[in-house]
Amino acid sequence: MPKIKIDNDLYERIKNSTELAGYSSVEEFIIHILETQVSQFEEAENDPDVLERLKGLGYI
Amino acid sequence: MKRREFIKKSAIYGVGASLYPYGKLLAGKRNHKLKILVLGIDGMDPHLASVYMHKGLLPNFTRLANTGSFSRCATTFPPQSPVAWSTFTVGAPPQLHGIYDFIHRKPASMLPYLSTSKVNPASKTLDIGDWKIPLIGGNTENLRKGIPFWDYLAAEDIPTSVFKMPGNFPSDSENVRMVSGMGTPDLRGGYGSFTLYTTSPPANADKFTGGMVVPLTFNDDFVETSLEGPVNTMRQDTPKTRIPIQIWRDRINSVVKLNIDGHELILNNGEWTDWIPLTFPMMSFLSEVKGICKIYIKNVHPEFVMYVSPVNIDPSDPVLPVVSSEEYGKELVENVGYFYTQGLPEDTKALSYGVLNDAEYLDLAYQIINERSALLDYELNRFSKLDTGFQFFYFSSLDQDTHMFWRAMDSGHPLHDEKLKQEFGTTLQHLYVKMDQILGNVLERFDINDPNFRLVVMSDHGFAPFRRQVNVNTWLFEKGYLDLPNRNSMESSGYFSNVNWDKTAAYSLGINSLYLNLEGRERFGAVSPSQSKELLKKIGKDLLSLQDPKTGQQAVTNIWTPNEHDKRQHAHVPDMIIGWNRGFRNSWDSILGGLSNEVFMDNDDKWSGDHCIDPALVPGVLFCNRKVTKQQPALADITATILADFGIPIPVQMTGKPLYHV
Repeated sequence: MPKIKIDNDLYERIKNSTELAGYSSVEEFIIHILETQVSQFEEAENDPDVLERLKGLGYI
Repeated sequence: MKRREFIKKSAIYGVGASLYPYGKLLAGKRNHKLKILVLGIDGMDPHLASVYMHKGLLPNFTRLANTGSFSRCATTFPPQSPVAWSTFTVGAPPQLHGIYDFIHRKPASMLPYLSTSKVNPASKTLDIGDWKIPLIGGNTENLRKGIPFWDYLAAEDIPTSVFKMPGNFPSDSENVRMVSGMGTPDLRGGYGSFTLYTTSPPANADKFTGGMVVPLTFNDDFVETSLEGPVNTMRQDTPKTRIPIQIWRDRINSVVKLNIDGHELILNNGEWTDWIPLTFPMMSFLSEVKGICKIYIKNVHPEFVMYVSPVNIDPSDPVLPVVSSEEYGKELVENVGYFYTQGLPEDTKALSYGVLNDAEYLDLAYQIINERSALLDYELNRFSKLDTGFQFFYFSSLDQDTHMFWRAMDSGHPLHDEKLKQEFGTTLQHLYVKMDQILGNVLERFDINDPNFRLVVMSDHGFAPFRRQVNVNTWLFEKGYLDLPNRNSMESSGYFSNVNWDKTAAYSLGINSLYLNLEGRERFGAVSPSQSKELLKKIGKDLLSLQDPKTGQQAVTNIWTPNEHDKRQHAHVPDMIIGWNRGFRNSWDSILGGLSNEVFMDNDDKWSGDHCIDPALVPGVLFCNRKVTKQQPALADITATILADFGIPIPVQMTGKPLYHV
């Protein structure tokens, strides 16, 4: 499994926020954030219906 | 929300225990007998209300105004419902909640999305043969930031109910009774998608948005077809789920027999069904999705035409969190019946495309009002028995129906004529009277002179004509801010399909938003950040001098340029918000990145009134059974008043001030 290096200070900040954000471990927190961010770009490529769905709103 | 979780959430938004002094609350300032009822009537206009009150048509609104107050209520910039109701929700402007338009875009991909909520698919699935089983992820997300005022109430154990607040999806609160509002999708994942079954498909059927057309061919007066449901994400090939429909027609008696999902229905020409429960199979015997729809037989013969409403999520067995708990959804369905769960139930697209005519649309509109009124009645029954509590209840009808019928009373609208005026010129007046009757039912139940009862009737904005549409992207092209490689084929309804980004400085997306094509932010950014301030200044000056060549009228009366601090709060903040003059709005094409041959065009859509303009021109209404003493009340002030009335300190991030001395 690939590993990445991050700055100690950043790690501590993430660690301090982990419980507050409701995650059980730092690893789970980081994986969720990365998945969320990456999915934004994947969605953009994989969601050709987005314009059609938005056009269902009367305003558009 | 439990108090411990609430304190955590407060810390995330920088409120913190030191700024939210619970000790002070526990000292006993709270009024334990107070009840607050807020009726949200989207789009209720202060001028129209005043005119109808003056005519004596709104006796209940007049009584409320005479008991306490009636005033204008300042709206947000831009005065769009998701923006304005989010401001009411968190008691602060868009800089806090981050909702700036119906549509935002991801700068890195340049693609648009609904600003208020999103549905995230499962991130991990187990693939077995043709089946894809979701394992991890898959959720709904409200994109509004900040703490909604009802979390403060729930943290103090005040019984709280929030019914259909716009921008509030999903309904994710444990301690607040909630039905989600504008932004809630239908079962196909859109924001209202009808199905028209017909033996005579309209010539422009391929242009329809917000709905689909299914051509039919009868054989001996029988045809079998199907109703499209949600995509089956459990299958590898993600097919659309379908429910078979069998139709028999009796041409002599103009009667239809339908069989849909085990329901056998006999319907006359021009008859509506009530809600029909449907089950879409996802995985044999293991997983299914429940929906509801209404059917209208528009014509039996010679051409057969049948309208099926968007398939709504069944609130008694919701596949997405449209209600705060399944029990609450079941309770509502058992006591009141099924109801529209999609964000905006009025089928404005069906009217715009002629799928429903004016009378048919209004028939459905009144069904929606009556359905909502029955839900209010049920909620008020419960609320009246409480010792203390808060209830918010929302009506979308006045807003959506004013959008569609402004043309009938506006002699300056391109679609106005004498026949329309004769038939539908008083439609808006009737709708205001209907809302007055609903208020009358409330006044019969509650004593508005009771010092422990607060009644607020509010709207998020007023209304204005929408006569001329302005294609901002075409205007940007003409002014040299946007480049097209092929100038001879300018007209395009595609999403910026013909734009040369390398030479483009700015583009418009959404109803009021304008963005720079910024280096390091946009996918093909071409404007250096050091140039942005001067460029925005120039575009703003040009916009404010833009005149309609047909009338000579100024098209834009106000602009707002969010500052760098605002942009640091939210990455998606527009670089400029355009405040249109009365009568103008961004064009239908330009909203989603299209260009047209002309900058100015008549608005020939039945969507003929609008409010997405200069906020100074479309304030909302504020009725209250207490005398409002604050000058120029605004939406966030109502939020602050709710907390203050309950004895809850107003958090620092809320910008509103109480409407009267508490």
